[in-house]
Amino acid sequence: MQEPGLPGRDGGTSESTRAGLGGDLVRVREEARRLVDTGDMASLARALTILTEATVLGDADGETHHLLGLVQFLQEDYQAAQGNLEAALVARPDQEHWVVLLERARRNVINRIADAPEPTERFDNRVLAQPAATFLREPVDVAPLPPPAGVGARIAGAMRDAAGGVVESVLRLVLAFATRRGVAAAWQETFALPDGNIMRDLKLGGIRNWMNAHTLQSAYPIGRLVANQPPGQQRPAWTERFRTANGMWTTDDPAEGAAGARFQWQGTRPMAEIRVNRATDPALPNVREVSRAFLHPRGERIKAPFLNVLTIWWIQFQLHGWLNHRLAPISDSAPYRVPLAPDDPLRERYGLEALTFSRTQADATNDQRCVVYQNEVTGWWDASQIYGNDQRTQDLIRTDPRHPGVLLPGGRIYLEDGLLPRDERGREISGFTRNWNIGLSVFHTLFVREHNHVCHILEQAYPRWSTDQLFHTARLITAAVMAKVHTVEWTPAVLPVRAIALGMSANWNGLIDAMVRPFGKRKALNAFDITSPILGGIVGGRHSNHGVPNHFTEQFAEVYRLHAGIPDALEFRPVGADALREEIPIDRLREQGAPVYLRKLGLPDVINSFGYAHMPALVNNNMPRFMVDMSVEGMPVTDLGAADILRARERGVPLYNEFRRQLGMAAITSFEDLRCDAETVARLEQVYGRGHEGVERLDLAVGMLCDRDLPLAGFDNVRFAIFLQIATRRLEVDPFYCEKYNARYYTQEGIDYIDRANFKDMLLRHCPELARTGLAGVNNAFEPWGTTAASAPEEHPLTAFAERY
Amino acid sequence: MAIPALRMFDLIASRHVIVHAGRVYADLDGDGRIGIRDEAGDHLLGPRRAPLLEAAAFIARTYDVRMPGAAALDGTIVSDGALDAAEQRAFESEAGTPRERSRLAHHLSFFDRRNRGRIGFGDSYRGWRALRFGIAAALVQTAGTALVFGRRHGGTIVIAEIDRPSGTTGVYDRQGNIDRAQWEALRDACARAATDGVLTTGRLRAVIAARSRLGRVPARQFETFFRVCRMANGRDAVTLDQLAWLYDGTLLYRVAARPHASVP
Repeated sequence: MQEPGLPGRDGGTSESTRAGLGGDLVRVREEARRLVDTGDMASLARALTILTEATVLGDADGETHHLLGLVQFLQEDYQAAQGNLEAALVARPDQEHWVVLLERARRNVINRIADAPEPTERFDNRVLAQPAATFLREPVDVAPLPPPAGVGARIAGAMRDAAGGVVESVLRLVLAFATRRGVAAAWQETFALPDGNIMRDLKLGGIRNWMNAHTLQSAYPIGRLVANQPPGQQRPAWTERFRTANGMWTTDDPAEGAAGARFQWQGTRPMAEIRVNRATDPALPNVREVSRAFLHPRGERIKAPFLNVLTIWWIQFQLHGWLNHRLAPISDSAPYRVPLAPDDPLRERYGLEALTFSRTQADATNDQRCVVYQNEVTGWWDASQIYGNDQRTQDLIRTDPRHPGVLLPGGRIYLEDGLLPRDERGREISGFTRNWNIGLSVFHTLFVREHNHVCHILEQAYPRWSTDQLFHTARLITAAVMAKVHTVEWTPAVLPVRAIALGMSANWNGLIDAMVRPFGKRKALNAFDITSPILGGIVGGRHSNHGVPNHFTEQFAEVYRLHAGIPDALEFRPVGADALREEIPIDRLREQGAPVYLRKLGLPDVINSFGYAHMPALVNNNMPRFMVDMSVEGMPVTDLGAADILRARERGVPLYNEFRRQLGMAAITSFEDLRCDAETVARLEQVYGRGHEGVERLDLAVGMLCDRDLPLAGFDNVRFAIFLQIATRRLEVDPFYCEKYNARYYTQEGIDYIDRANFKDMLLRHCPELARTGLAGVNNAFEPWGTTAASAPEEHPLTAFAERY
Repeated sequence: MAIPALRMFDLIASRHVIVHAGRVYADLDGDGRIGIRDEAGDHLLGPRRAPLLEAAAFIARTYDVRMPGAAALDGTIVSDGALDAAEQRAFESEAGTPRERSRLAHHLSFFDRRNRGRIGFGDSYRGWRALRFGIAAALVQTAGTALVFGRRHGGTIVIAEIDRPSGTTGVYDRQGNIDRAQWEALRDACARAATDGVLTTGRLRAVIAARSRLGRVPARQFETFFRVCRMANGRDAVTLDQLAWLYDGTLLYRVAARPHASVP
């Protein structure tokens, strides 16, 4: 019988020859291992060559094929790696590491991990500095805007402005009084006060005002337009009424909030003084060791009692509409090499001595004294994750592939049997598809269905509208539905305290409306709508960027690294099933694997599974197991925990204690201040060192996850501080949520639709089967569906403290 | 869309032209002026005619045509601003219009929103408001500028006739063009006094005072410049960029496009 994967005996190498060549084989394998250790592309190519040649020497123990498979795995040629690893395991089926590697290679083949979604090229800042209009296509055949409000409405508006002016002046004084002992004291006092105490709300408001005045910084030189756009451009009239494909011309600063513009900065000290790349700082502990000590799971993962898994996929879905750094290809930059400790299991599994991480693409325009990075998605809450970040993508999603170049009628986005279409590589087509998984696939599908549903409503009301007018108006409405669900449902679910539930509703509806009307009856535009962000609400008010052009900040990007909340497996529970049917590893449900399983399992059943499963908690040592040893495009072996630590250091975001100071919070003086358990404190001291120096070395992500003093339930204090400012700012900066949030731009049908919208209804609209599930028993669809407020009040805290649903 | 007559500079040919109604005009006789009789033929323009016409259409479609410095996509052709009504009349006359506009005229064109070559009370007020001056401050500025520069025409400022007051830095010459030596000396002095390209207004005042004794009107103009920069930057700061933009005529267009503060 011929040995699998080896040359045939009669036509190949004889046994005697093989014995003579045994010494060569040993040397070849040793050389190959050395080259693998080196880890660069040229060494891997050389290893591949010598191992391929060595197969003629025979491979009775399978090691040559294992090494070949490993090299190909590291080169991201997973298909070839699979073949060689299968051959190796025929010879040595007892090799556990080989089995693991083969399983990973198989998954990566199915998921097509190596196929990076476009674009991967570097940002071209010269192109980005071209006039904004050159990136956009003007909508065709658009009816004029309805005339502006009449005299009566203008007088009413002026009265609302006047009332708002008076109220805001008084509120500013009150909030300043509430924080009169300084912002650091205000932070401490806020967290010490019980929920429901009015002083707590006032202090939070005062702190937010202070942050808006003292911490926002632009990453562009003063006096320049965002993205170094040329001055004096004429704003195309149509951009006043619709969102654009790449976010340009949302305001009069052409590239403010546009895809490709820089991340902004939060902190009291000037960015250039404080921002340094610490990725290779020898004074800081090895990021892989930090990850192993504080992020890798230990034992059973801790679950958040009051949240289901829809919660974590929702925020990942939102984040893909808000921010993404673009990484440089490994081959195109000097990647970071992180040495592995002698006892690191990755050494034995992959024969590696170091992990390799690509660099983040830095902005090549040399106009700042520190490194700055660009956001590849728009910084507006415009649902760019489904609509795209450039004109080409936006036109693509509106096109039936059988009729290229022809936009679908009725403003619709193309779906195939109600699901996202796939390209020739099997990748789902949507606005933004990096780091794809089944959770994202579900939310993208739902919101595209929602868009098409809104188009249908508009088409009924305005049968003469062109497809462009329907599309752009439906986009405004759908994005607002998304923003509303996040503001008044998702956020209170994650931070289930009265101050947040009321505060978030005040952002959307205004404080007066939130206090006098029950949840389902509130309106963004209402009789109490004076021009005051607090009393009248941000939505429908007047936009302000507080003097700093809008884009998400590096700080926001770092604190919203929420990988700890991702489950290891889809706990599959079809609609109507009494119990869990099976557990499917999330690692199988990534990239091109996601649509395969979504079609196999069915959208309602997957949503049902998410609804019943509890979300893992955002605490230390709670990362999903698959994420600490996984493959992503460009990095066949990586640890996302280590990457989380590395990215904050690379991008110059301050370490934990300095981060606190930059937000006006008191620094911690010892690890005990984090109020985590003694064993974690001991490990913190071991990794970072004892005393003041150790505390000052603490990484941001580790500090946040180890901080078990959670007065606001879902988030630690630092995460909450960033949230406090940005949750308001992302609405406040956007004219389409402020002065343009009215029937003139959205249509009256649109405004009414948004007022009525909630996530539960949306799920039921697109998956009516879910009416027969636990969803029927919850008010907030992000709470666990397996219980009700009556049967398990601790799992439904919003209902328990009688948020007026 | 009708494309207004545009002064342009072709970097490839190193030539000033005026593009008007699909035709290209150049300074054929070297007198520094271009008129309707100076249409440039193919022997002069060669293959640059089409790019010039395309650039004019692109700039008219994309930019405020009054503003200098707008460039074609390939960067080889730069606008020197649209002719205003007075210049257009001169262009169509025997004498023609200067092939280049003075930098001071560019600076003032920001207020001439109807491109008439004249700045009335309404134009002036709207200009100051576009620079984010409050209602009262805009009224004061409007009245002040009309009083100083518009006395000969009942308060209306005629751009071609504006006089430079006495006691200036000397960077603008009497015709409103830039005296390069004076400008470079001022720029270098400011660069030496700046930190990371930024000066406080106090420092800039000191630099100017060390170089020239300003008269009342120029001193007032500088105070207005400081105020514009302070509002744009969100703090007491003037950047070297902004000083350069003051003298290349683009500052007010840039500020009105709402750049914002970056450092708290």
